[in-house]
Amino acid sequence: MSAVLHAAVTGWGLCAPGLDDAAAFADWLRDPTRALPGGRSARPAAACMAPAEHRRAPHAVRLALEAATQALGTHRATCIGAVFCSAFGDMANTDAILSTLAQTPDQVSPTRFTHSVHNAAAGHWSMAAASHASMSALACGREGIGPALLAALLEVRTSAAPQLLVMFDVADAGALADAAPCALDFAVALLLAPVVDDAFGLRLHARVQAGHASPNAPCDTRLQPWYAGSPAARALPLLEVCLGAAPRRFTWPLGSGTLLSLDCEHPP
Amino acid sequence: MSALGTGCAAHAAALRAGRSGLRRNDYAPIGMPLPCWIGRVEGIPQQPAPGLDSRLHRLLMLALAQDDFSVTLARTLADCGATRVALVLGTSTANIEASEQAYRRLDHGHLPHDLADARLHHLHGPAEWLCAHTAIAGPAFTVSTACSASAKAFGLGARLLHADIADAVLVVGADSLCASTLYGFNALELVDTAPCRPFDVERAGLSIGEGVALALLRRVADAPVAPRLLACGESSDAHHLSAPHPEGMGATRALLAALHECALPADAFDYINLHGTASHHNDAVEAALVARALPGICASSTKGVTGHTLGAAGALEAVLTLLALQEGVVPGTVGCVRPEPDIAAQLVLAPQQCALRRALSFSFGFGGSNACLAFARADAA
Repeated sequence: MSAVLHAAVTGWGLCAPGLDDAAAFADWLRDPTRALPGGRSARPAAACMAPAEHRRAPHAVRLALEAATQALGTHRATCIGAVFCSAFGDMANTDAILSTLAQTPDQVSPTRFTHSVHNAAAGHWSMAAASHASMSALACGREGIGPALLAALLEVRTSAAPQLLVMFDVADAGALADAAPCALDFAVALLLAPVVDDAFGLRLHARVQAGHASPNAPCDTRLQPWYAGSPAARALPLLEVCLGAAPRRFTWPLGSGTLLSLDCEHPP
Repeated sequence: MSALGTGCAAHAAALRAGRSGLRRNDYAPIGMPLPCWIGRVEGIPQQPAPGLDSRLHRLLMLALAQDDFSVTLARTLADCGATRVALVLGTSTANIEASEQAYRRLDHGHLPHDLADARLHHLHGPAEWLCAHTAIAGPAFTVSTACSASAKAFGLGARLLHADIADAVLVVGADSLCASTLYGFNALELVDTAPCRPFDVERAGLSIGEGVALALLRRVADAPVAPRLLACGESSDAHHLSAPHPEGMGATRALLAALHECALPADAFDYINLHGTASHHNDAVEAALVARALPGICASSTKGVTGHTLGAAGALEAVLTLLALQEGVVPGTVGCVRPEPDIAAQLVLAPQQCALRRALSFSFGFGGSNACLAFARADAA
């Protein structure tokens, strides 16, 4: 068994259809009479972006940056690194480029191509946050939450500094939807900090071990369609615990024979 | 594996000879080939890759077959246990060449049946396929930060070893030729119609290449005579999505982070494998940075012989750097005739025999993503 990795969740953010931010999500979660909002599209404000960048940036980038901004809160961003993880990236942009390539390849839009890199959100975030720290962009399939959390926890361990983890996926588009179905826009971000004695925020203790993961469904069954509909929404059960649900153990797959076992604990 | 050939011996021989693998573009999945030069891998197998076929999976198969790599990997899996071997794959476009094929023959707006496997259409697909093919059962990651992807994969690989999460990490850089990058860079007017000319004053853009590079990372105690990865410095430009910071601030930070990590001064290094894409801006910024921060150290770009292999470039150039250390050869900057004045004094144009102890390799990508790898021979670590 490997060493234990620790972190405290000192901020979080969310952007989803009908629930624009984490505060709206918390209100919704507290009110059992409300149904899950319908629709596929979120409305990310992404107010952290310079106006020109905001105008040019694709929806997927704004979605990721909105969650990141919320999670960062009032912390200074300039030295904070980030791990971005998206299973399918900006599918609308990829679909548009593939459609053009199939018909009139010399008409590919240079702007679309520039934004087609998987680290477009990470790059825009480094600009918006004026952070020169390392930013990563991962794609680890539908079950990307385990690898993404592990990568972010390793960064916290190595740098002994806070680290943002941002998971996002946009609603599917075009023929790619056949292979990469994604029912809604969803972004979640966690600010992970080294654990010090008086740190506030949910404590995470993670181990990598052999075995197969068990289901980690949300406690609130109303969330099931989102949980099943978007790879990024795999983080919802963890967000529930951040918002006060009983601590629990999650086991997320990391590869075909290993899992990330994550224990959560509210601060003393 | 690259346009230079397959296997380490072919690459070492090509570096010693200063031979280029670039050819006139004959990759044209749609209509006429674009008027440019490319780095195409020769000898891609005709038979489909087992389990799930794609151009990239065939390239991965071919790479595993070189230098007994698959034998070494199998022995490592047996020694460590499959769950203690991790995979970190850096790529920019993964299997998008298959998505392009699918979009050329959509069936009433849907993916054709024979190209409907999800692993052909998302970035982690090649890593999933490679785990299944090699029986790696440890954590698997795909890093996709454009042209720094597989350099940053070394950083994540090292962190996995240091935290005792894995006992061995297979680091892969992999990108195949595809229409997306050829036409995309062409739309940005970043492709030279002639073979690319890194750091030449008349350079006019890059030549796209394809390649796969594999590296097996172990802790020093488990591989005492192997060359060392001393550091992986990483940073962000925080400046622009597709243009480098004009003063190379982000790149300098990556270099300083690498030097800090290995606690060595810049002059401890005797070779720099430059990013050197032959794009006007990148080379100007990199030349000034190297002249300022690493004066007098032999430097060259190998993109003139392999083409720019994008997400694979970090790992491919890491392997070329390791070969340079092993063989005692400073690769030339093929394609460059009249170098940028900033870097002319230290840019190596033709290959030189020279004993090397330690070397750096730069990778910079869109999104302002920078990585600087530091390597040493085992006897100079």
